[in-house]
Amino acid sequence: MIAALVKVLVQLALLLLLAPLVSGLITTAKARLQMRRGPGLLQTYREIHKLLRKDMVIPGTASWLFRATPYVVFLATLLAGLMVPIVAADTPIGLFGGVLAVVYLLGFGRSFLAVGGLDTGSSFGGLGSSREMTIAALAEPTLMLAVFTVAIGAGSTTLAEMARAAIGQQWRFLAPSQMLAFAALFLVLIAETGRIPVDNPATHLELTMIHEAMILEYSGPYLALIEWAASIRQLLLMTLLINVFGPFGLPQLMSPTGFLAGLGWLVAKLAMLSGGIVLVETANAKMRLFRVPERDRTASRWSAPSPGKRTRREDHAPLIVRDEFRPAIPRSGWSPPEPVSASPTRPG
Amino acid sequence: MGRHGRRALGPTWDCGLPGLTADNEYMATGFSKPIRMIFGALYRPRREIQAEYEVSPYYPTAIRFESQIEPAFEKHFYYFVEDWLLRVAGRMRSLQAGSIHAYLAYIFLTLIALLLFGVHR
Repeated sequence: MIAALVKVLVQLALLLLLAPLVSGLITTAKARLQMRRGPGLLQTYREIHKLLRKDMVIPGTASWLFRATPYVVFLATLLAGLMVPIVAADTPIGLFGGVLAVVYLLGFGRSFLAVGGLDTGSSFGGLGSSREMTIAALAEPTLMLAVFTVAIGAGSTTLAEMARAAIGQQWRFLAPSQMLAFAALFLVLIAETGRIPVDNPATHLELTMIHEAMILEYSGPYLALIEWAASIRQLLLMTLLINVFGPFGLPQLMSPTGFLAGLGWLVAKLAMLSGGIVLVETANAKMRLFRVPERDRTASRWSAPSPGKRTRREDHAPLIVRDEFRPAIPRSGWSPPEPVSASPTRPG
Repeated sequence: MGRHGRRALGPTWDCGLPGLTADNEYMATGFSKPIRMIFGALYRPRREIQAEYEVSPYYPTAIRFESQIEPAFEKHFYYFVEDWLLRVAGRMRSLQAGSIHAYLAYIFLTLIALLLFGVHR
């Protein structure tokens, strides 16, 4: 009983403390790669600390949903985090089918975020929620498909079992199905964490934003909880990818001696995966929202390769239905105004 | 939470243009628009907007809006299920058509069947 409690506490502490570091690492590495100094590794901690101490403004039109959302998101993410193997294949809790619970706890948090975004009555919130749910609707099936590909190999949907199976067969990740599933999960990771080709975590008040638009009305401690949850969620998905596909040095059970080794390996592998994310973020430009489905379609095809069926470009559904893009208001009968000539006699 | 800071109620952010009303909120139609566009091949969304204006199209006097999607699942799945169910139900109808004599016959036959079942066990 005590041992189980200790495990839960250790895992919680790891999630809470390591997550902002990973966010900081990605931001800093990205800045360095782009010849900027960057804010430093500890910036996310500072931001959370600052936000927790600030006053907050709550929109007058918001209901209890707006107030409940940060707590729900935070707790759902933490609970999901307890089911993911972090420094040992053993997880503190393994409920209701392991990885399914993880994915849908994250989905639960996300749907609350979307509702919180809509709740304020701001157009920005609605826009962000609508886009977030669209991307979730595309990324989630891919995530499940890739996870099932791995689960079939491991013979279980419990993450602990999946990690154990991967430890048992060190070279299994070289199997084509595993490599494709890894690639698909990496694409999902980019979408789920709001990274560049899909969303841009560094912007605020830009019309292309997704996550930021949804949480625009949050401030102070509520915003801190949401940002913290977002970074924990990122850590969680990265750890899942690492420990299911490349669990080198991952101890079977959580023990004081294995803990440090496991943590060391984890941090090293997190740094490598962060490097991959940084490369993707730096080498790509943000995609137009309606290009994202193409990318996700590729991911889902990778995660479940179907032999013997070749897909030609024409087979795909047209992405943009022209009818929906027709200008709403007829343009005839109106011409652009004459350009104003800059005359030196203009008053002012 | 909120030990340090104060909570204040404020207006929702409106980009500095006052007059954010319920009209500016997202509706279900707008919320689901990306899905309609992405799965356009399936749903075949159709939209028709007619605006009447007198001076400039930017100041319409009346707007008629119509939006429609093709009920793909109803058309290609539920329709057939429903059709099949109704046909089967139509045939079953001859069993139960409101005739009390037929019902009494069913009860009688059931009793005989149960009796035979009991004897043979």
